[in-house]
Amino acid sequence: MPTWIDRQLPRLASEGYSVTSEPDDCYNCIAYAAGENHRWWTYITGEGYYWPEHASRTPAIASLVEVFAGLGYEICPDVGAEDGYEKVALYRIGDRWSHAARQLPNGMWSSKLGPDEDISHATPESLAGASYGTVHCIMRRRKPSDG
Amino acid sequence: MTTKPTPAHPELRQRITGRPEAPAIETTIAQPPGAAAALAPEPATNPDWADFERLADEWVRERPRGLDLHFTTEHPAYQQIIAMGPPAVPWLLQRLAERPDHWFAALHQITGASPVPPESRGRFREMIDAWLEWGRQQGYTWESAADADMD
Repeated sequence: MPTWIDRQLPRLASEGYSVTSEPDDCYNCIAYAAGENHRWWTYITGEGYYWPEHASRTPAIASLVEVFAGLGYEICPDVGAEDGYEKVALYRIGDRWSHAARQLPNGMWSSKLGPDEDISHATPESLAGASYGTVHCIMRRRKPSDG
Repeated sequence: MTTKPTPAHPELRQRITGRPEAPAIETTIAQPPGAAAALAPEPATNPDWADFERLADEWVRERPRGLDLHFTTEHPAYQQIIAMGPPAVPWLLQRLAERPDHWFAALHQITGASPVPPESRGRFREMIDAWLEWGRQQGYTWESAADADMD
């Protein structure tokens, strides 16, 4: 396991996790939660990063909620796996978005850690702490195949 | 105004970074006459290539891991590179060409340019290509020792 993860994310280390990819500069957590692994999604303007047109281009957590709302997600109270739905967890530090994770079909969660590795973890809260802040909300949408 | 190219000397790099540098990547870079001077205010200091390399290495080494860019680009080393202003542009382009990383925010904040076409937004390799092509169009050049050996 990469030592930086154990050092920087102690709760994750104590709850257990699996590294599922090598580091990759080509995509970030937001892209990964949205189902992509070929683009870097961020609100920063001008430099050439991708951000969906339907969302306001700001660092506010509200903008990240808009991103996933525009992709068909709605806020839901239940963090558990639900048949026919896929879920994402959105994180914030203060009012700024900091991370997004997606739920796997088996109920585990998966995250891309910035430009670094993909990991699987037990719950969204596993990543809560100084680096990623708190879980702001859980959002869900119907899986396309159940549409 | 022409800025004198700054040699990327491996021994100097090692002295700054504490690590040996691969000699095959020794480069020279030239800034076109007056190209960047009008793009941003003159920096408060007179940055040189060694300052830039030290800060760039520091950012790569010490930025928080696993975080998105709006956090890692707030690192003091990254911000000091931005504060260097136009003199840092050719060094950023050279670094982008040789050791790709997320230098786009620094390039944009210094120059105001936005050369990545919509269809390439977020695609890392295409972003690099777009910024390097922008650099060439602005008159910046860089030559690697590996290229020179092939001549």
